[in-house]
Amino acid sequence: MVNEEGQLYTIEGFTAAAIMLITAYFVFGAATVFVPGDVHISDMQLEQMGSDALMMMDTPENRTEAENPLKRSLLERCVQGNDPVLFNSAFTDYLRDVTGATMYVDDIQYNATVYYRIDATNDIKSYHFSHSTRGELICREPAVSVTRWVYCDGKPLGSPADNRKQDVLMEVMLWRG
Amino acid sequence: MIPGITTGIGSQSIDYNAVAYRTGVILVEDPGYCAIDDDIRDRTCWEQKKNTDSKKAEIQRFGLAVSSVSCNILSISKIERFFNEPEYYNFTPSEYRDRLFFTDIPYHYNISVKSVGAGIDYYSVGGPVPECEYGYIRRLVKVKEYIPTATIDLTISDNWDEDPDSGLKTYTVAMNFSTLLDKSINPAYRIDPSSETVTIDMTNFAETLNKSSSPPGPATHANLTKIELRRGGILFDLDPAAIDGNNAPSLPQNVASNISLIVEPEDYHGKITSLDQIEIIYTFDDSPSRTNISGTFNYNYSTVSPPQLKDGVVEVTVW
Repeated sequence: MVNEEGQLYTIEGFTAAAIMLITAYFVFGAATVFVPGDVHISDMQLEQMGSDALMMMDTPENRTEAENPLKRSLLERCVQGNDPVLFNSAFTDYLRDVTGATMYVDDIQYNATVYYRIDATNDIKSYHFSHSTRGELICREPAVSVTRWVYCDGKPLGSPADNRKQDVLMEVMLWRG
Repeated sequence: MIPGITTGIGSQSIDYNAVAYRTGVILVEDPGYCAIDDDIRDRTCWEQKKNTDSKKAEIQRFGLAVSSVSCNILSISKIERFFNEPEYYNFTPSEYRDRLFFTDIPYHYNISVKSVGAGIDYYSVGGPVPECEYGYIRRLVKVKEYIPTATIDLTISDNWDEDPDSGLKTYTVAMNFSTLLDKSINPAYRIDPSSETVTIDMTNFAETLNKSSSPPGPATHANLTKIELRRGGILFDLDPAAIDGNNAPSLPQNVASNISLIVEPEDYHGKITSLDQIEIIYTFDDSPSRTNISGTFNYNYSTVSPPQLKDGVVEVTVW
């Protein structure tokens, strides 16, 4: 039999449904949707930083340096002379350079590798070049890669590469450590 | 309504990084753009616009790069005009927004630059950066310094000619623009007097004065009557910056030791329509006579040191 008790159950049902719907509406509506694009933006900052740093290390400081084939950029001197210590200090200085407008501090770690080609076998090989204090291993943090071709007019000192004029590829992995 | 608002705020905070990135690219990879007129050589020389409301309105886009083919290499003249150091255009926040962000959204911003090597400790425009929730990008750059001072050292005998006769004497500094602005030279390394300030120091007058045969013996000074800038038939006066260490002297003036001259592009833009050869002519009176200060100094890459590029950093924050 339909009586007042039945009507109350119906009203309760509708009320519960409304509460559930409103809750769901709040929950789904209020959440920030974190799409891969957002991760990409912080990656992009890191990538821009690394590629700017390599570019600045490879930019001659005046016309005499730029037009004299015997004068090398800082980056070329580091690779040709196999000087990871010089590279580490210059690259780290670039990564830490700020104007002071923000309190933003990010501890960027890096690991640099040089890729070269063996002419006789056409094999591409690589050797580890330099890394930051905690940059020996890339751990959990997502890393980005930046690269730059570096001209060497002979065998990079102490490296297994051929002794010939060549462009070697420097790859630097960067991540926030 | 409430969740709608919350989502909106969330997605905007993500946008800020992209806006900061785009603004950073415009600033460090682009030389800017403005309407052409007689005061400027080309559309990228916005920093040479005259400081009037109508001329300022013709600046359409800010950019600090030396040229569009030299990314991350910034012009110090553009930096000084953009950051209003020293005070010049006094752009308002809405003028910065219109020429940098290209949007109706009233972003807050802070843009700063530092280059210790180029003498920039810290320049910034915009409000103080909030503690959180702002978009950010940092760009590493090189700042192209001003053209180093050209020193005409009169102890070097090639820099002057002997005067056998009395009469007015002139000394000429010749700038050949087809040599200076040679297209084969990367704009980052060019000596470009048409867009940057030129300083010319003529020093060690005693050397030529001592050799003067002017009676009764060596001359103690030369008498500078005027300095002119000439291009073809166009001729107008320039004022020396200092004579013997005294700033802004009026002419004629006796010179015992040196003359310092600063020529800014604004001095002759608008007066000269095409640049090929410019001459700066110093005229000396015949009293005392035969001071030996005559000759020609060729202002070019072998007589003037090239400008240096110094490391710097630009930060853009948007909120």
